[in-house]
Amino acid sequence: MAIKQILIPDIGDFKDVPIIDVYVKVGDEMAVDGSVVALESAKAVIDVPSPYAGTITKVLIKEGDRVSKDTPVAEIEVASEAVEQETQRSEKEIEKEKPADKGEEKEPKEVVEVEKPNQVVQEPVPELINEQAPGAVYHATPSLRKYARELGVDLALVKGSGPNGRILHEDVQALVKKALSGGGAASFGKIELEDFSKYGTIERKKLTRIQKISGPHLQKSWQIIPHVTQYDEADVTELEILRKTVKEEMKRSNEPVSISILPFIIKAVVAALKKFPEMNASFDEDSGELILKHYYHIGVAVDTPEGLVVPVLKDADSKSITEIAKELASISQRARDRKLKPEDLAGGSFSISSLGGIGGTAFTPLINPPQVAILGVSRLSKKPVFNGTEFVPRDILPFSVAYDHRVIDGAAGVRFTTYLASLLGDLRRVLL
Amino acid sequence: MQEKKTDLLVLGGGPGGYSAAFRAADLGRRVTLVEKSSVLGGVCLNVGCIPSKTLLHLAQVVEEAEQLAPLGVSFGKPSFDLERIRAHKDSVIRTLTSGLDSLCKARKVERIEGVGTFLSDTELKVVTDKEELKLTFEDLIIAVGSRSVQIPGVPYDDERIWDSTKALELTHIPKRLAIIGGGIIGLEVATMYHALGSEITILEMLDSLIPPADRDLKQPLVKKLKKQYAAIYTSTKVEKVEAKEEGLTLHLKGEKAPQTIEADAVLVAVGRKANSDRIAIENTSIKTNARGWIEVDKKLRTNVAHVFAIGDVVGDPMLAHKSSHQGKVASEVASGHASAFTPLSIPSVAYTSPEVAWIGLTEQEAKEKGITFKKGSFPWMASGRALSSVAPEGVSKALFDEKTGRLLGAGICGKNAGELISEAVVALEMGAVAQDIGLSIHPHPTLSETFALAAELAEGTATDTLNR
Repeated sequence: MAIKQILIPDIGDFKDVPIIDVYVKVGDEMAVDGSVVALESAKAVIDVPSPYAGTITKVLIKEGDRVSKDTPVAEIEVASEAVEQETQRSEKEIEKEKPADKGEEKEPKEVVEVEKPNQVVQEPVPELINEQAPGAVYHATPSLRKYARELGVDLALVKGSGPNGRILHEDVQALVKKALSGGGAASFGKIELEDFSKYGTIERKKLTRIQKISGPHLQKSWQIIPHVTQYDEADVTELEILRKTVKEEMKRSNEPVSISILPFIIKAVVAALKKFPEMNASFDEDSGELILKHYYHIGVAVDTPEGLVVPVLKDADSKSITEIAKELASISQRARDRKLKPEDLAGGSFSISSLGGIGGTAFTPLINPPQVAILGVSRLSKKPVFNGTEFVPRDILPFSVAYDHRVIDGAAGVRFTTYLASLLGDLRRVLL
Repeated sequence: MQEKKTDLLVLGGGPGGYSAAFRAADLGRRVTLVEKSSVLGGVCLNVGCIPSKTLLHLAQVVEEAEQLAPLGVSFGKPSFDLERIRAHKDSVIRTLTSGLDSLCKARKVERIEGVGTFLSDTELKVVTDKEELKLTFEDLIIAVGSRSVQIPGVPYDDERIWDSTKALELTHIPKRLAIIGGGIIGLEVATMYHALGSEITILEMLDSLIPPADRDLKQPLVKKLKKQYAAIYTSTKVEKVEAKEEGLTLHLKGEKAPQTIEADAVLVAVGRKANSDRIAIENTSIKTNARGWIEVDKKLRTNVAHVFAIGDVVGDPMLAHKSSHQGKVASEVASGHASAFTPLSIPSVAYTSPEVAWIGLTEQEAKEKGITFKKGSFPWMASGRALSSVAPEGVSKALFDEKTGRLLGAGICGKNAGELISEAVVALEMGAVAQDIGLSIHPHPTLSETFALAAELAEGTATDTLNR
């Protein structure tokens, strides 16, 4: 019997990679090629096999340790014959892998044109065979078994939808698609948690129903759409004078609702969308086409105790500002009372998130897919503006437009915000 | 010794070796093929499958012509010009090997005619007529095949003692031919020489001919051979063969066998042995099992990562169609493809008269494994096409898994069974159930419909016979 060290083999160009799993403990019986530890390289998790058969006598590393080539990971007691044989073998393998070490007089290995992955890295995970016995519970044809091997799909995980439970190509595709998009977070990895209670007291709170539903939708938007946010501000001093006048009139005629700046913004947005129709659109990735919408249904983000909802104000282009104000008041109330119907939430072609009532100078709203742009409105404030001779106090409204950069380029984005700012600065332009 | 670096090296140019070489070349590898003979194709093409099938075709025509005599069509007694028969056989082989030569050239596969033996896991010595080479390689595929097994007590230097290669040389037609080994090879040679006029005696150590096949499947063949041949002794061991000038005396040991029989030629066909012992494998760390078969995984890789092995040298079944499929898989894996050798079945065929072919699980195996099955078995006596072809000796059977309903295995005995069995192979690989086969309309009248009828019998929907 002899004690041998198990070393990290040469698995390509890397060093100081973390050990993510230690499979062995003292006393474990190892077979040749049995997995000792798992390493995390840039591309894959790699199991390090034991070159020897025997009993583990010492484990020299732990999870999280960083290792490089030839770092000893464990000691193993090996039967004497086996040692000789295996040492011989591993020496030969090393020789093959490091032709330069053979000596200066030998020319370096001829470059072979065929692309061939490094022999060790080639098998970071157990290779899929997808064999099956005659009459097995699931069945896949030879071409499908090959297809699944190429995609790295273990057929044991696939539920067959074909006749007699036969696994079809579509079943394998569906599994792969699910794995790739699978509930958003699952496929992109989860954020590792730790035991926070060691830092202080904690409590757990369930997400609201709306948060649970909107979360994956928001994540999808963030992950799929390349967002660009364009910031701008509008001088709404004149608009505010008009709004206050209208407000007074409504009050005098005992209208039950008040009027905020939002209905005016919606009216201006509709006019801007008419000038920039690609902002009021959806992107068909499959056909590579932009679907322009000749209707103006504006989604308005409403904060409710349950979370954010975005009811849709239909046909905003054909409604007056006061009509819009009344309808907004009504849908917001229904949203807070949780009385929105599915049709109240459907069909939006552009969205507005107005946080100005609470505060903030600027923010980056997330596009509400399948729309391609969204307006974020921040808090209106009095600011000194230099008019050429002196500073005068003006009502300045900061806003931002996030858009899908796949279909709207930067110049178009800033033209849109500039035009919108000019409309808000002089609402009469809406009539032009 | 001249050194030479190669990319993908194939050792052995039989059906497995050349398939591997051609596939690898098509995948963009630079391929070097080492073969000891000047022709490709190995045993199969030169001294096995192809010459035997050429001669068996003649035997079949002779037999069918004879069968017609009592039906009113006579051709007279056939005569055999052995020289012309040999020439015909050789021309078939030449056509095929020269085809391989041009495929080899077209694919730019480099050929080295010589004997390859290992120096280490990474070096192969090749001895040619002119020189000795030391080849290194990125990947190596071992495809060195097998050879006939010899048994003790036989004077092999006597030219009346044949192996299959010698039998196919067709030097003369012995009056009495004794065949040691009642497997596929022994029975095919028997079929050939019987048609040419030899008296045949079969000596089989196990208790039946073609041991792996189910009894009910081979029954039509066994029944016919018992009538045709001088004798068939099963459970009989040949202890010694004595060579005398006037003939060969075989000393037998078996319950029903006589102590001795006389013969003018003896064929020894008791199995095949892997050629792993002829490549100096002891200089490598490549593992072989107790029978000398090189151990490989499903990707046909040996325990040495860059060395693959395929075909007869990795063990049973030692069949050309297994080798060629394995050759392709090995080249694909060696070239980084996600390939694996995972057939549900490798078909077996005895080109006897009638032929016997089977795939998947036999009834025997299913019982041993405790798999419950439904069976359908259709006797060819009830087939219009079999009767009109004067080929009533036959049966088509199919086994279906009782739980999943899928085809587990099938067997066909009868005229052209080797051709007919392919449908069952496809059905098995596609996971067909009995209805899939029965409801697929087969042309009538054909021999192929007997397989569909077997499936219907298993399903209980047959009308051409009573459902039992």
